[in-house]
Amino acid sequence: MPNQYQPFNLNTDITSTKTLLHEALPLTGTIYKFGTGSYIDENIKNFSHGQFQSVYDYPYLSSSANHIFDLAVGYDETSVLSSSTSIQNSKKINMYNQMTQVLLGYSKDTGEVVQKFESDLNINDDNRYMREVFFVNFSRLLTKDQIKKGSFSMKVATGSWADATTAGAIKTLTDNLATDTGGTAAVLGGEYGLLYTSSASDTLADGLIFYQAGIAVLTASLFQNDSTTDTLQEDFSDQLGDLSQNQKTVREALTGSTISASCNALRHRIADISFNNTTEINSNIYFCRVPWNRYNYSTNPTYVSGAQIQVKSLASDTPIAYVTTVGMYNSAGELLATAKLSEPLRKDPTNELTLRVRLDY
Amino acid sequence: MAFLDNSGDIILDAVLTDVGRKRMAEGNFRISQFALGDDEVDYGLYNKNHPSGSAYYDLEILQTPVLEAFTKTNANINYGLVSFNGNLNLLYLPTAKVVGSTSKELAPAGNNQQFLTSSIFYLSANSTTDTELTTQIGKSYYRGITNTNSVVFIETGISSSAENPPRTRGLRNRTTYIVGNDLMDSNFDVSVDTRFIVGVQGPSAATSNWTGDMSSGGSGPDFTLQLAGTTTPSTNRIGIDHYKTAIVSGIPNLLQADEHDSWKKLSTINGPPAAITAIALVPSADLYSSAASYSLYGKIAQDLFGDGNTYDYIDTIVYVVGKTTGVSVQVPFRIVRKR
Repeated sequence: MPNQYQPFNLNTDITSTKTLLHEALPLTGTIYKFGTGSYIDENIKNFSHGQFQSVYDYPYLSSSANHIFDLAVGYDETSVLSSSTSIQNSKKINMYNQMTQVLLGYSKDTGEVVQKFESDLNINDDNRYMREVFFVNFSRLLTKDQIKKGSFSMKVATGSWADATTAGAIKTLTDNLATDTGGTAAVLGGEYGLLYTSSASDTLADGLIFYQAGIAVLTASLFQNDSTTDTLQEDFSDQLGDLSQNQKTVREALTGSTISASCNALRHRIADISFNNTTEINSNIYFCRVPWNRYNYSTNPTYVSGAQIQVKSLASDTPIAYVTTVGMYNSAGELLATAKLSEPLRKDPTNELTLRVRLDY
Repeated sequence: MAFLDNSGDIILDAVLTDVGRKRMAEGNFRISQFALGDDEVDYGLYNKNHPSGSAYYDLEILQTPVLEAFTKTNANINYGLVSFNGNLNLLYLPTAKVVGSTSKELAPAGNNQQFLTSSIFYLSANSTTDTELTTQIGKSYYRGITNTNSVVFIETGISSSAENPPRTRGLRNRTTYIVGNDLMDSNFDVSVDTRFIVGVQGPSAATSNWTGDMSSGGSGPDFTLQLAGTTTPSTNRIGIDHYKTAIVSGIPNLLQADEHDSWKKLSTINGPPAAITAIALVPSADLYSSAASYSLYGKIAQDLFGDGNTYDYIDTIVYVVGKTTGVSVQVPFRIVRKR
């Protein structure tokens, strides 16, 4: 317990900084059985309510497993797929409404109607609707504070179910138009950018990426054969898989399969995902300034031998002490933080020290 | 607790302590001061006779491995670096010693001095135990409910094996080495485990004195010890869980040397004396009649003295630290209850 404290000058010894840390996160398809393997995998957790599916990086019953993302399917109630005969029709509508309600809010004209996802950056122009969508909700464990703009990439197999990975049938969705200074729009759910396939040259996006929410919204049109229209009125030649029947079009999957089954099909078509996350670190930096005439002695019991200071032979010798620990205290003398030096630091009257202690929050 | 990598640049590994996190949760996290510690350092490794010269004197100290920062009790700085008003010419620092041997009888009239029993001070929890301890170890070896004037003495001063600097008649060296260098502790922090100890008594500085001249023609010892009221320990100054700290006074120790070395029977410090204090502890009422705490924290039904009687007891450490010099000593106590 120290009995001598050095006060901080609040104006000159303490400063605050903000730092953005980015981590690269490559998620390979092998984690969630891209293309091959059983739909019923130990890494995949389905729920009795059937509203979404959770993907883990390890058998989810293990305490070592990390939740990495959820999958869900939804469509707007004005979609042509919305029908009382569709399986889990109301749950799919509810899912769409919940996501758009949280991410986009309500329509400017009729407050009780939620906005719809659009494949552009203007949700108020009411065009280019994405009425039928897949949701990929990334865990906060991965996205941290937000996904870094311009870093998102997702490879999706869009070929026929029997040969989904044929060269040319894998599309790479990226948000390469998004930067910290543009290419995004701000809405209730934070900022979002547009996901384009690498081969796309038109202005229609194939999905949206909400950076702070960590949610990717993929239009079901991504899997249609004819991409000249943004509706699902066309007949599709490509097919998505199902637990019991592989021969379904995306339309058939969205209407005739459960949400979990559609999530299975989507999961087997997501080849790779990569993005950089962002962690915002706010730091207080304390400059512990030790003047030349302070802290040159120690109360360490080994400091004296027979009452004589061990590092001195004569009274006129320079006193020396060695610092290994910095204790940070409040005015009541309570130890709030502690910092350790990696090796002892010599302190004597010939030097002054400034120890820079950074506390991150 | 691993060691820090010391192969490259010096780094600082910082963590919030448990108290820091608690204060942050309360919205009351405000760092306003710092202190420096050197708990890992063994200054005995400082080799003033290194054959390669002065640049190598502290080679071993600088290679001392340092443990990672941690968040609990031992995150605290146990000793700490100090300065003495910018005085760079100190050669001697005071030490603190507990007086527990019967060869040093200091207590003035009206007080009992408590002595060690098997290297520990006994604290009786009730009057039944008082009676039994009086029989078994004698009244001078415990403090109890009916034996409240017993105290443990702690002295500070410069004490060296070669008696250099010596204590002098007239206390010239005390003036030079203690008073002249501001090494006199007028107050001490006494930190106790409040699960077991609820009150601390120390000397009343105003009504106590500790002087004496044992030389031929001298006035003899003139010791007066009057205890101040009981202080309830409050702030935790030591950082150990359940501990709180009370402040007790130190009395200037003005016992002079004499030609017969009679003073040595009255002091454990063989050089210039600094201060003397006395502490008396009040055990928690929870320990008077119930064995519950003894069962949890100590031992029960032990035949301590081989007389067939059984006792419950709890061993605890009391930390005493000089508020001026930081000189410290640990005092072992055993709270005992006859079953």
